[in-house]
Amino acid sequence: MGKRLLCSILLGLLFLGLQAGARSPAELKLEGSTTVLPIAGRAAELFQALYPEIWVTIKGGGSSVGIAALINGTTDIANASRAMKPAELAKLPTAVEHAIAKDGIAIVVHPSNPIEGLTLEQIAEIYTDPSIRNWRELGGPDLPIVVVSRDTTSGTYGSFIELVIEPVKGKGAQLRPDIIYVGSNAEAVATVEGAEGAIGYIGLGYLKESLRPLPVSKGGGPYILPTARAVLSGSYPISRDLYMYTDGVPDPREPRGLWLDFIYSRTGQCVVLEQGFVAFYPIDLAVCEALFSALGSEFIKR
Amino acid sequence: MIRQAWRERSIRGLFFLAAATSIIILLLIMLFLFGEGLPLFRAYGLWDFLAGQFWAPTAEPPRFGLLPLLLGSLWVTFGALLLAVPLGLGAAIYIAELAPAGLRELLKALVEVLAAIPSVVYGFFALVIIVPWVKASFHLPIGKTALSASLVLGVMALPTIVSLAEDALTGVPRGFREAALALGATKWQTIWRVTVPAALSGISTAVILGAGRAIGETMTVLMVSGMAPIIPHSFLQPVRPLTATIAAEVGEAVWGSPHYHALFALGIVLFLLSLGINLLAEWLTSRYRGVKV
Repeated sequence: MGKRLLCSILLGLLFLGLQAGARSPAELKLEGSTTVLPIAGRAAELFQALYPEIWVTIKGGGSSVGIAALINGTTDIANASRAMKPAELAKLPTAVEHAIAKDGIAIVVHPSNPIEGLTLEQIAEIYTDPSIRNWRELGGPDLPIVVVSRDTTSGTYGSFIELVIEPVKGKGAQLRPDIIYVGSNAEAVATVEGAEGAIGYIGLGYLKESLRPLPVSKGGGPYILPTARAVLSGSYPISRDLYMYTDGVPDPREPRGLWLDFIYSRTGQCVVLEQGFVAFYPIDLAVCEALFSALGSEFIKR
Repeated sequence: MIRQAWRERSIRGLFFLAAATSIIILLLIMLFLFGEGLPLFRAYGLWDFLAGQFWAPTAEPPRFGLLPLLLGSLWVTFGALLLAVPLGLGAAIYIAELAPAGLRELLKALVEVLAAIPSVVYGFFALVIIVPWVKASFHLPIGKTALSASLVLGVMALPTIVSLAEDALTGVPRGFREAALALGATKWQTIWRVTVPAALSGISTAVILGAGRAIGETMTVLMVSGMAPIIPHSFLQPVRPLTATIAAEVGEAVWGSPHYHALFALGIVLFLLSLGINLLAEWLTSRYRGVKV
């Protein structure tokens, strides 16, 4: 409950109160995935500087909630960390998909762990089979395994299940009971940093030198490291697109069209980078800094 | 005359309303809790809930086994009492019986300060200090264990135990002590054979309310217990207490889904636990009043 409240941000009210006196302001409502929320929130800040006459409101709630709102006509744009399901598309055949960024999940271990890489199948086994207790069983050192996962409410947990567990174990597989659950990406990082035998997963943007990302292989393919390039090309197995859905193709002059153009612009993709996701085309960080400062903001490097 | 009687009555009514408000709120909370929790058992067996050994709300089919969570809660509370009872009782005896007057007031105030620290601060402290210490001392793969949670909960239960036990000890009539000393008992004999037994029901109340404090604590255990839903066998393994499970999962459990109702069912269990603890404490206190005369 608290989370949902936190996620519902109202932006730009002050700006508009002062400037839109004469014109009636256009409204743009976004709702949905909490994974997309930081991108949308930051983008709205900058968008507002460009288009003060457009009133942007953003809500979280999760991908399903956003898509339901789009179907019910209570939002202009649905944010989603997954593609619309056929059942949802049947209710709104005019929905248009806009992939706005790439997200990759890195499998991380303690830097002292010498294991070379894992297959998707091995990762799924580690997370579901409580009889795997030692790295030795996976060709690693003699070290007890500590399995770390995000809480079941997290978007990253959802994508980890969809991209790793379900393809191997089928839908609805039960995770092993002795998993250590943590509440945030940052806590996952701290937990894996502090335990030599730990394995965890985090969003690509949270990778640090104190952790070792593992190369991952799918279906007997090559072992691929989770780099932005590998996620972009789709060769890294644990990656996905993030979406914004609209009802029909928006006219480029109306708020939805202006918004999506902004997201696809270099500034928009810099926001994607800044928030720890992978942009659709390579951008130099110096360019991002210049673009942000032109809009009176600062590009924050992690 | 009539006007005054009317005024009396309206003031009386006002206070009755104030007293009734808390009861009404309690009833509403219970109504809501049971109304949202009981629908779970339309779709999920009561026995599967009460005796289930697995908590896997997102599996297909989901499993809502209470045992690992309930035992996790009881386990960390038990551990907390192992620490807090001897420490708290010792502190209470020192404050009530041995400390010089000036030091007594200072100590009482300092113990109260422990109660004023927000639980998230305790959790953060434990995460940074206790968790790595437990990991290193016991050569564990990870420090987020029942022991870490118990250590912090023990400290958090201390103020309750110390102040209530100290009250109980101070409440023992002076005559008891004087009689014991007059009979030639040493200070230690007086404390151990006379004062503590006389205050025993008050001390028991203190311990039970301390347990209530530990079992209801949420934020701290969420941060340090490791949150693994396994049935505890030792203090050196992670556990997932009831409270922390509700806190961690309520955010995005789909409204009206079995998972949502299951979290409220956990709430019912927690409510009944606290109710039982408070009734027990109430009962002990009433016995204590009898002794004091």
